[in-house]
Amino acid sequence: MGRTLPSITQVFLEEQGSFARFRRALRRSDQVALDDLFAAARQHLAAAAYAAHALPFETFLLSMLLEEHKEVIRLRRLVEELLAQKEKRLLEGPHDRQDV
Amino acid sequence: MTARMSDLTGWLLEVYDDPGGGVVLWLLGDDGVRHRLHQDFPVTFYAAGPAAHLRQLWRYLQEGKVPVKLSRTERRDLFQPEPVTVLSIEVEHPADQPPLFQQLARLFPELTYYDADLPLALRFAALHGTFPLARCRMCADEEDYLRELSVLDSPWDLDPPLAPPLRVLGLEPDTDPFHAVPTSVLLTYGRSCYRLRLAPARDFLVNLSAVLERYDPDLLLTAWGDTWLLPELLRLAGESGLRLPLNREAGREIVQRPERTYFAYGQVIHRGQQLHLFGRWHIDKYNAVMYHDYGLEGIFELARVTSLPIQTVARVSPGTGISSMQIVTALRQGVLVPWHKQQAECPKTALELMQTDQGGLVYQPTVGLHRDVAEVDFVSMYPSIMSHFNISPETIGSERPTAELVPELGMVVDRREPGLIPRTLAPLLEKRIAIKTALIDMPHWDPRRLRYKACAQAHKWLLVTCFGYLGYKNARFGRIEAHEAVTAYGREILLRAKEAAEDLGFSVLHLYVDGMWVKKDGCRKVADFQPLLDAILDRTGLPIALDGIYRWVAFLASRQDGRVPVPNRYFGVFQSGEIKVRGIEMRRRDTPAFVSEMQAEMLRLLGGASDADALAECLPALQLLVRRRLAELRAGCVPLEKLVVRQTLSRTLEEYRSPSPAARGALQLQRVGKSLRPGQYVRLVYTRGEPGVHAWDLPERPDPREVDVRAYRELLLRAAQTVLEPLGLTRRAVETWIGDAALSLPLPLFQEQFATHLPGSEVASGSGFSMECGVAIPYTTWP
Amino acid sequence: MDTYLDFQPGRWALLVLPHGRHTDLLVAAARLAQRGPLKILDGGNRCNAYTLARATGGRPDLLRRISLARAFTCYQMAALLEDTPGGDCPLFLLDFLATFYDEAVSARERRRLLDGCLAQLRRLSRTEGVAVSVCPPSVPGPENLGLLEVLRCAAGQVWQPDLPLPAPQPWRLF
Repeated sequence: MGRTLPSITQVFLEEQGSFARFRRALRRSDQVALDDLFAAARQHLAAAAYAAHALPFETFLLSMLLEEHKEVIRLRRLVEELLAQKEKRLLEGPHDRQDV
Repeated sequence: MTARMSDLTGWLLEVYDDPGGGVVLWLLGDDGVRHRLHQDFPVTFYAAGPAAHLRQLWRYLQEGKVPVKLSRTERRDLFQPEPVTVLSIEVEHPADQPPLFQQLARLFPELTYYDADLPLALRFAALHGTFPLARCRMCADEEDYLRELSVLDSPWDLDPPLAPPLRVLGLEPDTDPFHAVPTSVLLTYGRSCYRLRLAPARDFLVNLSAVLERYDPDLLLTAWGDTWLLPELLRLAGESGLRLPLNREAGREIVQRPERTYFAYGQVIHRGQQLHLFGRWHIDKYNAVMYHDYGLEGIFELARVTSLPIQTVARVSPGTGISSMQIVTALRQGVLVPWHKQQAECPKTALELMQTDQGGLVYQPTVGLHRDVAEVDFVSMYPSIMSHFNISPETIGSERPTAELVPELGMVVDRREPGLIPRTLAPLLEKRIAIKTALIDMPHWDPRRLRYKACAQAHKWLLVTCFGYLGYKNARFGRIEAHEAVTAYGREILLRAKEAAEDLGFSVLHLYVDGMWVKKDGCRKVADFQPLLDAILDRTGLPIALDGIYRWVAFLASRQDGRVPVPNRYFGVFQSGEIKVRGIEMRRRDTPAFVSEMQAEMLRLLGGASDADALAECLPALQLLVRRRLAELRAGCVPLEKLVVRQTLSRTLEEYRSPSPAARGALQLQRVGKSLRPGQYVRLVYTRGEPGVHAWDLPERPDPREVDVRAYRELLLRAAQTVLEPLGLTRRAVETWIGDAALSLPLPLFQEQFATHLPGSEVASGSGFSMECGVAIPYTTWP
Repeated sequence: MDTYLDFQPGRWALLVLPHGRHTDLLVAAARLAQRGPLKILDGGNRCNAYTLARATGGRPDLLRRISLARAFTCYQMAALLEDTPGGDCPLFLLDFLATFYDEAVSARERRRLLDGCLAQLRRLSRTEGVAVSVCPPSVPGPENLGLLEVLRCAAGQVWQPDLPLPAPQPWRLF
């Protein structure tokens, strides 16, 4: 009753489907990475629906970028942590072996 | 000459029209007598249109045989800014009105009709404030003519002062007639219980008639009474030439309504045929909508608040209930009740359509296992919005200066005067909140508890429907803009609640239309969440309640893709020990009992763990349980009834391109003469080879050796995996874990958590990782 | 391949489309938005605004030129046409007969309402282009086919593609 617009999930699947040819021509390992990107965009469908953007795909792209950036932040932190630990071990010297 | 008057008090049972004129009322008197009273009751309806046509109509009615009083007047149409001029047609005898209206609608189709097709009970209720089971005082003369009537209680009272001493006669065949022809019927009444053989028919009918006359029940509560028992009894009576006094009202025929299939609420619905009695009620347990949800008490409550007759309210969908409430409110306000829904949508731009044509906010939850999570829900959010923000067909788009702007919609709502819809809903909402509040602290032994729970269920179904009804194409007082305004408010309110939570340092795990799951370090007790509830009430103006605090809750990912969260699949254990489950196998109707029961047991075992850390200790017991069930299945020890799968037939058999299991089962039934309509469900067992199913309602039971063990094993393991996945087990791990007796525990369940902290806020890292408990859902990795 | 429809005042165009072809019609309508405002009355709940958005490249100014109203019952469709003021911009009726195929309303009523709608179509097509699209009924009973025939006879011109086009083509209608 009343609902005329397809749901945001349907719109998402349509947009994903429109890249089927592109995906097919990619190498298998690249396909996996592409699927990751689309899965990432699915984390934010509610916000995409609320945004009511005329071209929803732009919002999906932004969602993919958002998740990529979160991953970058996470990795950056991890690297900093590891570097800090390494530095700490160097300072303490070989006779004070600590478990990593 | 003074007429001798009698003063009666009691409960109103029913009001209906008398073919001889006026209305009949049945009163269950305090004196124990069922009084039949009558009263004149003229009924009015209206016609509007071009003056020339109305004059024609006037002439036609004056020359007609039906006694009417005609006049010209002005009345309020909700969808018009100014009152409309109408021809008022007062019909002396209520029984004459429906056929007269049908005639006029055929002869003068271009006119607009109001108050034309309303149930008599509603008209009476609007005038006198009556409702089924209302306590009344009636003053009747010696000819049983009702002189005075006053209603002593209100449908909005929580506890009606006295319960009516209804006489209930139960009639139940010994088997499901769809499966096999019953041979006897169980009669229960008072403290007696008799089993009567159906053959020879004459003896049965004589016995039943005797019971009906001696016991004189107010209610016939049957099993399959609509679809088999009563039609069969009537047939037997016809053949034997005996009269079966099913009606209390002599001289009236039983009303028979045919079965029908229709599409509503997004699915195909089938309603069996109906048999309505006069002077007493007939309710068929298996043809009463949602009887299993709220039973007789719920039906009585629905009748009270909607004013619909008991037999009607037991069988109609909640939409009709809501519509009836709106009609009564309109009649009392002097608002015209339209016959057809004619109002079309006001034009909007394509851009506006994209913004307004949305439902509630449905988020993707943070998949995984979380601990100490509070679930907060707005109480009846959509009805509360309608009531609080005065959303009604006539208040939307109003041009009055008192109107205010609705967010996102650019639409105005006039809040100066209560609209029809809020006026209708307000007392219902109030009663619902009062009952829910009372239930929270009510001890288990309180005798009111069962009735309150039934009322709560009945109210819930009405309220859940009223929002959808606002946008329904055939709703008399529906309007799509009002429906859209409600969803717009809903989205705004949920977002404000989310902001309130985040501003207070909570992380929001999930949002779903009218509810939120939140957590915060150190918050574990009810009092810890009170500031949040206060902040939300402050920012939104709507009441919000703490549903409970979970010891742990698991949000599940999609079956097809473990990275994709699913909004409505989760399970968890409250601190009270209560388990809450949504969307998984045991909640689905097409899951066999064998699988549902195992899944429920698994959850009970997990529910026994004191907190999330102790969950791993449950694994040995879970392993034993699953293995045992699989062994039972392989050994053929599972009773066949527990393997029955229930699937709905979604279309007619011819419409299936490739037959679903339900279709194949229905085909088998059709071959033995049992036909099913779309919307009805097929019970079947999966069997090996072709056709792969054996319909349960065939004369012979399936051969236990033919059971498709592999199919059921698959269902069982899938159900097990649903429960085990949040604990870190993939499907492959489950297979190994089940099959390999030598596998020792503990398994490396909880993988390392990678938490990312951004200054000032918490951010869940990557897809598939949960924040605090840090359980990783495995997903595709780089080769 | 462009399809021109010969438009004349007082004659409105009927397009009998199989179910899958409404997207093309929406795209064509959206292209018209580049020239000026237009109205769409949706009788079959088919007006996917995203299709319109894609066809206009997501431009809000163009999307604001497209006015939409939906009818969910034949009574609503009749009321919608009555309420539509005299043509000041092109008018599309999308899947016009969908609500008329509803068997819950008597055949007599549906015919009466349809006649009323035809009178409105005559009025509206006097000054601006009117295009009406219909789908053949999914349940091809005599009443439903009869309604379709009535429309066919009343239309100024009828366009019914027999074969599916190789790929969605833009149509220029006016």
